[in-house]
Amino acid sequence: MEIDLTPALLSFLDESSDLLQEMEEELMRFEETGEEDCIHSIFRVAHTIKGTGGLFNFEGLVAFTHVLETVLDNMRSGKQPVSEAAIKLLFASLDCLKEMFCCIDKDGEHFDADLIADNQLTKSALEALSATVVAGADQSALAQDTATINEIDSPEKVAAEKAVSDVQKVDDQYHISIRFTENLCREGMDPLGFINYLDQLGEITFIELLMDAIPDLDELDPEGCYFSCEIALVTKSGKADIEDVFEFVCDDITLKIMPPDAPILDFIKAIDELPESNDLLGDILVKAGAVTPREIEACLQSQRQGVQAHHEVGGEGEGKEGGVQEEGADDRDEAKPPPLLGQALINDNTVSPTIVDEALKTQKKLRNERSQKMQSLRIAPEKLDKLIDLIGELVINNANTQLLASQTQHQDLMESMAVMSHLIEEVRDGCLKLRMVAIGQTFNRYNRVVRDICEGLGKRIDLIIQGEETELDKGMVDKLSDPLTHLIRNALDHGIETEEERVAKGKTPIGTLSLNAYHESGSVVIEVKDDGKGIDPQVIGEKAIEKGVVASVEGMKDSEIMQLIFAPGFSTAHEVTDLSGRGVGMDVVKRNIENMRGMVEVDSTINVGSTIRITLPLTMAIIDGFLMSVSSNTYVIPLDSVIECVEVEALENKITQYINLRDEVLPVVYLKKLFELEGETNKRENIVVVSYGSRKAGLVIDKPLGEFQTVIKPLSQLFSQLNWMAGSTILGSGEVAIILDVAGLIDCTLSLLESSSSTPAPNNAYASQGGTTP
Amino acid sequence: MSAQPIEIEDDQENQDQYLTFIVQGNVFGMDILGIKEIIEYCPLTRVPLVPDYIRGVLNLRGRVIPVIDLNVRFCLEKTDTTKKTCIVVVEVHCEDEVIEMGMLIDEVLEVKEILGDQLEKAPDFGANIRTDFIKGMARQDQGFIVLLELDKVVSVSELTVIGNLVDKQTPGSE
Repeated sequence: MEIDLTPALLSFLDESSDLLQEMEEELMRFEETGEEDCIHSIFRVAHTIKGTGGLFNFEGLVAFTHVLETVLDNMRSGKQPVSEAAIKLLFASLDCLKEMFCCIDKDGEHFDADLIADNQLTKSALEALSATVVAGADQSALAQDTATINEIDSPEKVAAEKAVSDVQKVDDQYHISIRFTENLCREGMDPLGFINYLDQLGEITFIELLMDAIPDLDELDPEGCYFSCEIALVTKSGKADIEDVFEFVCDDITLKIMPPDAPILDFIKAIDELPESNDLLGDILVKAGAVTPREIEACLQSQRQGVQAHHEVGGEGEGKEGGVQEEGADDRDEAKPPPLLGQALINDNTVSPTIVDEALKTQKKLRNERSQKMQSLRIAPEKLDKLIDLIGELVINNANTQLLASQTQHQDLMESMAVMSHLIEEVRDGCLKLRMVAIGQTFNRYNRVVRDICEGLGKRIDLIIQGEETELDKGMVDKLSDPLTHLIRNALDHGIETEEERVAKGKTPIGTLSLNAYHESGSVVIEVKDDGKGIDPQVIGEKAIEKGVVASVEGMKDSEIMQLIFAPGFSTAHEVTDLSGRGVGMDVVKRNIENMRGMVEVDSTINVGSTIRITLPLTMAIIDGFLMSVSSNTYVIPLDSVIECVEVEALENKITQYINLRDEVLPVVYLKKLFELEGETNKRENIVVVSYGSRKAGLVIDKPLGEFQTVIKPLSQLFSQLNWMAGSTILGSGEVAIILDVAGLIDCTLSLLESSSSTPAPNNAYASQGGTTP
Repeated sequence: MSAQPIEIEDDQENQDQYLTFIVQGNVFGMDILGIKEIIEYCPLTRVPLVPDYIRGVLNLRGRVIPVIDLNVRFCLEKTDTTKKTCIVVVEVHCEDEVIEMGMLIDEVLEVKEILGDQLEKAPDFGANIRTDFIKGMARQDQGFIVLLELDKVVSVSELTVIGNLVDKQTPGSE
């Protein structure tokens, strides 16, 4: 019988990728700041991976992390100097770990230890790591002496240290008592397997098989397990590691692990050093390695049972005496209060009193300064999407209900509806926020990318990250990482010059690449900025002509030429990138961004640098819209883009014109004319002033209808090419309204006017399809 | 012009069911497998700046789907809506996605079973619509029913509105 480990394995893989990410971040931080905390964190990660890896029998992984752990341990105890080479080695080991996790298949079967051993990268890293360990060991003797003397100054501690050091020579000997239950074999477990596995952790110096429980032959069930063991294990592993061995059978055995006497002082020290994250005594002890979570749980259980018994007795007493206080109190005295957790642990002989004392002190300290670490919850994205879909339906139906309510003219009903709408709005916002994540994590990932690329290119480049706290939709963050990597690679590879070139140009030898994110009128802007050589429009133009992207660049503005780097087909050939400095897959970048309803802009000055600006909508599902009517049609524009509504005197009957808005020139688009809708021009026209990017324009409409919570319904494939249409939505009446994309609409208007003034476009896409003729 | 039976991939006994309907006085048939539902005509939301073959968009129980005017698509005039005007909702496969679309037609007739041996090849010319729209001709007592090739009639790639519509002056609009 096999236990299906797949779900456990999946969550292990999932967790590990997070852990590795954390490790990478800490490592970067350590490289920068040299803070000791980071090493602790890295150690924790390595330790966790080792522990869990062992559970799944990933021997290669365990062996590797074990060595890594030793190095880290030496580093944090100061036995081994933290040099640049050492950090490099840690990075290399991190990559190895990543590699190993790639080898682990989802079904867990294809994890090939040989594969890893064969892997040159892993091999060399492991060798290098081991070498450091050996080198470190030589120094360790010296370092240890000085370190311990320096660290320990309080008299009791010195005394304790001395007392302990004698025992320490006996080595780290654990005593493990195992009582298997009868069911073990029926569960498909083999007791021998655990013993064998224990042997891998260290050396089993003593083992005694207890056979008292074996019943008479008549009663003996051949499938039952009647053995028990007493084992002495010499190991460097922590207690949790040993307990992990029995993880799967914890229900079927009674396990008691007696910690070796030796490291008690270590426990005390560890408790002192514990990072303040959790104020439970139990947890403190667990983290110190003195006890394991299971023991705490067992203690708590017995404590609880005590409480229960206590209540029962107390309750009975009260019941009998009918509320006579004195009597009841007596009864309560008789039933002793349950022992405190700390006491319970001592009584249980699991930890020594000194350790509990220390832990209690730390606990007190922690209670004062409340832990501020944010708790987070993992949720499958589909669940959130489903919820947001439902909220969308709720919003639409609410609009409908509100419409009906207002038709009844029932005052109370309308008021109640208003409150309801307000609540729904809050639910909607709250729900959408669930999907929002800070972009910092994505940005920080590039620290590594930049570091590696720079190393490869031999350039020195500083990465500056700003606006990490800027939040945007999780879905978008995921889709952003590819385009961003592209842009960063480009900037590093082609944008920023080599050190010599930079010095020759009078720039600082170290280049700067900055990633910046900020909110701007309802959208998120992400900038990738370098101080490199910039993009030469002339070179771009020439290349574009050569590649047949455009026929001629005559009359094109520099900014327009710059946009050509996003044209498909521009960047496929390699020599282009070498010459132009940019363009690897820029069309892909643009397409990815546009798929998210965002836009990309390039801004570049030769020899000063380039900025690539990505503007993204805040969310993809529900927006605050502004409803307006043109003829009998209703349109929606994002409320964030609306600046104001003004009324002006009658306008000319043209698609575009300009008006004087408080002495400012404001170009306006006559929607009715543009959309070829019926209806006469009004005596006074309503204009919605909108902003798009950094520019302003006016839309001439018939009537503004106010705010509207707009659930964006995806566009049909048929309209996917229309950039002036942002989507559609359903109004309270059930009618469909089209959401206009302001920037796209204005672009569309301009190209429409341009082409109608010049000759018609050469290929009429519709002529061949029948139905429309020019 | 001699019409010869065309080859049917499945065995001869296979009889397909076709929905028959009228567009501009002509009877057409369409395999019911691609048809999701038939709804009564209801006012559509016009989409500006798109060719006339897109009649508008429709709210189909919370989903917004485009409606294609088959009259325009078949080189005819824009459909005048009457009491009998219907929207046939179909599913078209495009790459990995299934796209829903509505087809505006003049009148729905019935679902007919058409046997494989009743099928004839499309005439090379003479049918008032593009030949590639025609899957075959079904021989009936009174004449032929033009069976439509759904994927061609509402071909996503062909119907996708490309970029900014520049030459959108069509006769018959407004």
